[in-house]
Amino acid sequence: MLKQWLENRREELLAISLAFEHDQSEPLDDSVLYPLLETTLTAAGQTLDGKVNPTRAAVKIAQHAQDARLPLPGFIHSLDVLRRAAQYLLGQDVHAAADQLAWMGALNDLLFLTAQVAATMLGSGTEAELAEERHRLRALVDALPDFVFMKDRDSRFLLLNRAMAQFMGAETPQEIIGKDDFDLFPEVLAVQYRADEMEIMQSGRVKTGYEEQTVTREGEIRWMQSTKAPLRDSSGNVIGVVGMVRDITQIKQAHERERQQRQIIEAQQQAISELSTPIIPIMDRIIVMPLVGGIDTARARDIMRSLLAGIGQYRARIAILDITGVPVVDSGVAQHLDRTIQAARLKGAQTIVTGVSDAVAEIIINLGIDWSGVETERDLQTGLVTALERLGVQLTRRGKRM
Amino acid sequence: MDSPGSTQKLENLLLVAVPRDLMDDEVIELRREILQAIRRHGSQVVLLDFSRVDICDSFFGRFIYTTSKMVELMGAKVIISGLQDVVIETMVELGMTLPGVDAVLDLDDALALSRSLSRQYNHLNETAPTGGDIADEE
Repeated sequence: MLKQWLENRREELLAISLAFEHDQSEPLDDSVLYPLLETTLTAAGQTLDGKVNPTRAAVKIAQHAQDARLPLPGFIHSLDVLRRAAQYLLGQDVHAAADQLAWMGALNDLLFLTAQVAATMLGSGTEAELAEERHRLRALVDALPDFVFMKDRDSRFLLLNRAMAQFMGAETPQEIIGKDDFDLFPEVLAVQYRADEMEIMQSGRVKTGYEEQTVTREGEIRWMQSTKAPLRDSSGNVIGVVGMVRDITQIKQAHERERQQRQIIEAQQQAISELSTPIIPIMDRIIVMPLVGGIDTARARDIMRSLLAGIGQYRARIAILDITGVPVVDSGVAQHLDRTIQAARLKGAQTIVTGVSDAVAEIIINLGIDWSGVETERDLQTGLVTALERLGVQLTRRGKRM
Repeated sequence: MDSPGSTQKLENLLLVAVPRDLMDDEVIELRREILQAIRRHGSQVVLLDFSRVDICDSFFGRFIYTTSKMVELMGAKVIISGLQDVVIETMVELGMTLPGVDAVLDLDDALALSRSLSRQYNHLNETAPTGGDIADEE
């Protein structure tokens, strides 16, 4: 879906990026910028598609910049331009609102990664260029709403962006640098973060997209999605850990609400179906099932299942179906009841239908429904007497009549 | 071991425990075995117990139907017992309601019914060979 959006808005994105660029005092040449943006967009599309991993995409984009002999600051600047263009266009696009966060997050990740790769690939320029480059990298990192950080082997902060510093209650990232998680978080969380980071540094493997909890300065619990990777020096030794963390509390809460609502609905459906198909064991081997309300196909199935289970449970030989409370008996209902009666017979119980009102009798005959095989009685009392007779039980009054 | 189901003579009753998984050719073999046993033992009542069967397809339904018809043709009575709820649901769905066949909940009920049927039978045929007096169950 995001890929589709990207394809559709490609031309617009390019146009807006170029326009942004031209507002600059020293704009890049279109012939350089246009192919670069195009390469970046294609790579971003492939990443979002899951076809190419972000690191490879980043290398590809950086290589393009290298081939075009683009200076690093200019390149990083153009990435920022593209990011702003995407943000601008997404802001305009009402339909993209739902995916906006996810999309921007993915693009941010990719552009950030590209900037890092480019920094090593394009190499160092003059002192001024280096300073400029550092400045722009800093700007890029600080512009991200996600948390970005770098820690040394002892999990002390070497670098972090503004969003993360603010989350921790600091004015500037500088206040946090040199501290570790034990200075900043409750011990139970700090122990866990440290364990994760130790594992990443020891294994040398990236840990992507895992969920963890954290707590704000105010004590509010937030759900975070973290990606952490080992940080290596030029000779490949692990010298720390880098990470990207996204706040997914709102998404989590939405899921949780949805799950709770589903649970409530399921419980209610269960309750309704139990209420609507009650089985009453009334005497030895006789059960009564009073039916109230309309009968549709789904309920007819519940009735049949419940009746079969009831016959098995109470070892019933006679089942009395009382339809006094069924307002309308049409051919559909009659057929459902007929099937239920046949099923009960196969289970080993005879069925007596009671409570056929004058109106229902009229409908059944007028509609030409064949109920000749169904045993019916006027009301529940009569049905019960018939059932007892069938089982060879006779009801007599004790002694003389009063 | 080789036969698909176990048929067992019990007084004038032929007890057939229908196995859980019946292959198509085993169905025919089982039916033949039942008919032969009726002739051999002169069984008056055939009890088909389905309590081990938990799936039902149209072929299986036909087995119940044709077997009961053939048994009736040989002058014996069919009682089926222990049909599981899911099997019943499918049978009703397929319209196989087996009119004229007595169905009971389990083996206990099946034996009680078979005895009352035998009593009626013995009334009519005082000379019929039986396994002795049948206790009144009530």
